Amino acid sequence: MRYELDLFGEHITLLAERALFWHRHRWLVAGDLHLGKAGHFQRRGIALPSGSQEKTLARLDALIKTFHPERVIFLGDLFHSARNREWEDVREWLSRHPPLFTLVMGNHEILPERIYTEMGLDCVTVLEQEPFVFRHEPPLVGSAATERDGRVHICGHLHPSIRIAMAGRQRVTLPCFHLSGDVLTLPAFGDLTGRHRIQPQAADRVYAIADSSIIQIQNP
Amino acid sequence: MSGGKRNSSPLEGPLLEWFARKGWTPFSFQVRTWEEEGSGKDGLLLAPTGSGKTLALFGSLMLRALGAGETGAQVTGVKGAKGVKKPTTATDAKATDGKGVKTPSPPLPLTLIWITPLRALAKDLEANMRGYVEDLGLPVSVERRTGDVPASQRQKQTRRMPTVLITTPESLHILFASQNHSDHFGHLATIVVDEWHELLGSKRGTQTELALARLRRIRPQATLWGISATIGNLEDAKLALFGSEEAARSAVEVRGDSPSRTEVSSILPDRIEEFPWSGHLGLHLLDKVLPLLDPPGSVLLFTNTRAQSEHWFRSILDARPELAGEIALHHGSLTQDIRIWVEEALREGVIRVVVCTSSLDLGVDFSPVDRVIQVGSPKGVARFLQRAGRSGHSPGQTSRIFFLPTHALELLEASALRQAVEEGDLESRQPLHKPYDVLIQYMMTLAVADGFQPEQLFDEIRSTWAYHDLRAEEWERLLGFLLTGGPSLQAYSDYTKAERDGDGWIRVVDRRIAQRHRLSIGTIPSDTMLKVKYLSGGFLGSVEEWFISRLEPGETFWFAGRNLELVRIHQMTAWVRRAKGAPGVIPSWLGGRMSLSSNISNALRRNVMRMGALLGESSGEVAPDMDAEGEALRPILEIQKRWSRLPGPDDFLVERSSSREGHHLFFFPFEGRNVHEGLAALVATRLSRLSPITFTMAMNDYGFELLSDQPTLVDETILRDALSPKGLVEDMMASLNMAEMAKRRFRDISRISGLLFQGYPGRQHSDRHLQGSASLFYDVFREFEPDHPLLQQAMDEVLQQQLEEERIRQVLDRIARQTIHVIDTPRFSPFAFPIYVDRLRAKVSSETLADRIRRHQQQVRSEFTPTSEDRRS
Repeated sequence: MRYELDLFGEHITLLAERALFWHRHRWLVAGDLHLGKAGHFQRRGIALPSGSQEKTLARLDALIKTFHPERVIFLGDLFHSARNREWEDVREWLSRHPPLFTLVMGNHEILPERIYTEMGLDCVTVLEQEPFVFRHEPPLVGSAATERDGRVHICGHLHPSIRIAMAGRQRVTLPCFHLSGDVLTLPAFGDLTGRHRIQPQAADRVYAIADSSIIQIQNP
Repeated sequence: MSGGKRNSSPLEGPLLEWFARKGWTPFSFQVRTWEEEGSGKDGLLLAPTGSGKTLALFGSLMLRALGAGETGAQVTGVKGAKGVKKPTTATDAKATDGKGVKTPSPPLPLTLIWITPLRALAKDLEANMRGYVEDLGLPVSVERRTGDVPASQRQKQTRRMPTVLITTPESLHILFASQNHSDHFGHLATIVVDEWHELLGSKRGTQTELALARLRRIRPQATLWGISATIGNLEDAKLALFGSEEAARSAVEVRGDSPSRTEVSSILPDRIEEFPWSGHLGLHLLDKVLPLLDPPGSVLLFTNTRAQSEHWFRSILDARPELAGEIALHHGSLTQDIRIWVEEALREGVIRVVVCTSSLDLGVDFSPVDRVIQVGSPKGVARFLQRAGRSGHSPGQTSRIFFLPTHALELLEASALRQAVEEGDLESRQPLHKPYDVLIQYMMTLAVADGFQPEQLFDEIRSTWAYHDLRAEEWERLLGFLLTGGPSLQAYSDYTKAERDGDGWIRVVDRRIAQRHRLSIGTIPSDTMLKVKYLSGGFLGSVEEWFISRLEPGETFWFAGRNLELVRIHQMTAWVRRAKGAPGVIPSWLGGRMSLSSNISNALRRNVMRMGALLGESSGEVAPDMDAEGEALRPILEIQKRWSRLPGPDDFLVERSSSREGHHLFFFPFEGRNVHEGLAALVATRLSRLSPITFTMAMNDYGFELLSDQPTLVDETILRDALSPKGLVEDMMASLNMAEMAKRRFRDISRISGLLFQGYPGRQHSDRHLQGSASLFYDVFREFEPDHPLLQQAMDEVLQQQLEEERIRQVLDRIARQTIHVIDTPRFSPFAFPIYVDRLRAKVSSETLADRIRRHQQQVRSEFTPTSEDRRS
């Protein structure tokens, strides 16, 4: 299911697949895939099963087929760590697609930029496209980057999730999109990723992903 | 060679003279242990803490050393060989030289390994043993090798081992992770496992079994002795210690002198109406406790949790400021220095009152106190008796313990406890069966040292009781885990952990993997702990990270009996200074949610049923056979009867009520928290099949609650089905909560087996990309390798150890014979209320998540105007 959002005059679709689609430029945006994570663990003697990466890429494939995006923007932490054999699958996957991928470098991108460029990724530190700024880490509150310039920062990095308390003392924690002031944080797209529970402010808007639905949380 | 030369020596030799000089007479069990051990037999010594059990087994070493001192020869005392040389007058002369002239001979090689569950005990043991050795001028060195011994000291030991090595199961395994470790044990004569009942039933017990198998393969001549308190299943304890039925049969059993009588008195409130229906602190009875703390005499006040001990300590001091200086606090999160100081100060009479937790359950040289107070349910008969035994130690004397119920219904437990104590109905501790995680860790331990030869190690491991029926295919699977990572890894993965060399030996080559393994040996689960230190210097103890992280700098909290202000958190340390003003929050450590043992819950249930029978028909009259606690509780039981029902032996009570929170169903099997957890999940799962519904569940030791935001249509027939023993395991496995519980179990399993790397506390490391959460790993395994042995282990642990499937079956069989009474109550009954206020909840649902959230949002929508610029497609 999808959630249509009017964000500062722009038509944005939030996707339960944990990505968003920006209609004006037909950009598909996803954060924190953490590819090669199982391989990284395996190389260090921790027998984490493979398979998550394949699932993550298959989900991205399906989205590309549905939306035919002009560009796919990765909001950083596309890769979990240093190279390992799982990267070969990523390289092969990228080569099957036309060059439409932009990587906003994240803190997990620890290798020299050319390594990523050689795989067919356009690397940038920050990507600006009015009225949005795409970056990995949300800007610190009060820093120069968040001075009101009418732009919205679209970020990853935090892997946000929200805890919902319901009647009957029921509680669930779900991955979510988190809009706080002029910062929109995306949930982690990767299947092998952890979560960070957010404590939203009263004015924030939180869109939780419940299985295949997106629900805006009232009174987050 | 039973009897033989050695037989008479303990009774005639210098050891006895030394006893005489000390003004001691050896207990008969000590002499018997010297004889049996000296003749090369294995055995189990059953003696309570503080009874002289240390000398019973250390005496043998002393005899050996006396013999060796005489000839300057190597220590013998080996099975089948000639016994220790009979000491002669030459040694006597040395031994009786009261000036303590240093013996010129160098200390003997490693002769005795003493395994103890607690580091703190190791320190006490070391001091005691050194005292004996110096007194007799023996060529014996005594040293500890535990986690808190400096690395430099441990390195020195690796070059030359002391004669007596006091260690823990973990430290012994760490020693096995070093190369050429078998060289140390060439002269080993005796292995002692102290407090075996504490280790048994835990993964540390399994670790001990593995260590024993290794030591006995390296040095088959060494004797093996366990020391244990009495438990309900001594036969299992022997099997696990000696490894096989045959070995357990040929081992001797030596019993210490008969335990003292125990007298239990309850601290009763004046008016039951003032007694809370729920709660766990018990402070409302403070006024009744204060007179018990008055001089003369020393007092131990046991609480069940560290937080509770802090609360009590603070409240006692508030009420009786003049006790300052005479009262101290003792719990597991305080530094060892503080704890040792408290123990010594109590021994020397500097302090008189100690508020403590299970941290004082064990201890070697602990002088008896005059009074023991137990606050709240001790949850087990054995633990209760052990605590009672802290008073009036000597055989024949009476131990007195005061039981303080923290809420009304706990009064029922008081009579149950007394009953169980009288019947001597002690709990069993089941040794673990084939925990894969412990075995994987152990295989890695050997692989980082000299490596291992799989066939040989398989035999060695099968010589333990824990793994005696380990199948070859299981073994292959675990080997595969080390060598290839398992079937779910991609064929071309560059997995490395251990490698097999040309000769078939398995070793770890990668030094970083080896290093990581050495640092994570052990089976004790650890939450991330932060040290609490004064800015001005001084280390107070540790608290869980999640507690401290809720505090802002400048806020105050109460810890180690002091009011502290948090200044900052830096590198795993919470820096504090003393705070003035009102005391702050008290950390609540996780844990302390122990379940009632089956022994107590049986007695408790009998007690409830008896009350039901007594009060059922003839209300108003004084019931015969009513004890003081029953009489005190009577008004509350009358309310229970008026509002609901007092179940008799043939009744099973279910209460139904509603509140602002939703619709409640309460069930009362009186079987202990663990069994209720399983039952709640089972019943919720079965009821949720009838219609889409979500339950949250709560439980205590008396019953459990299912709460839903929708009314449930239940009647006797529906409940009869939901409580049927038919399809028990299938339905439990199908329950969502099983997955949640298995996930929690998997946390420890993945850490022990080396899957989960948590980083090194307080250390900068380059491996931060290797950190992950067990819950994420669990999901990954479930999806991509669902038959992974470690997942199976998690499930088995939940079913057998946590939920006690066998007990659940018994309960359901019993309920099947009872009449189910569903009673609508206008208010929460005295039985239901304590469950209702419990905030720890789990859930079972047959609705989709989205539906639940939407319904919830609709329920609150009236109070809220949604933002307008969004439109849903």
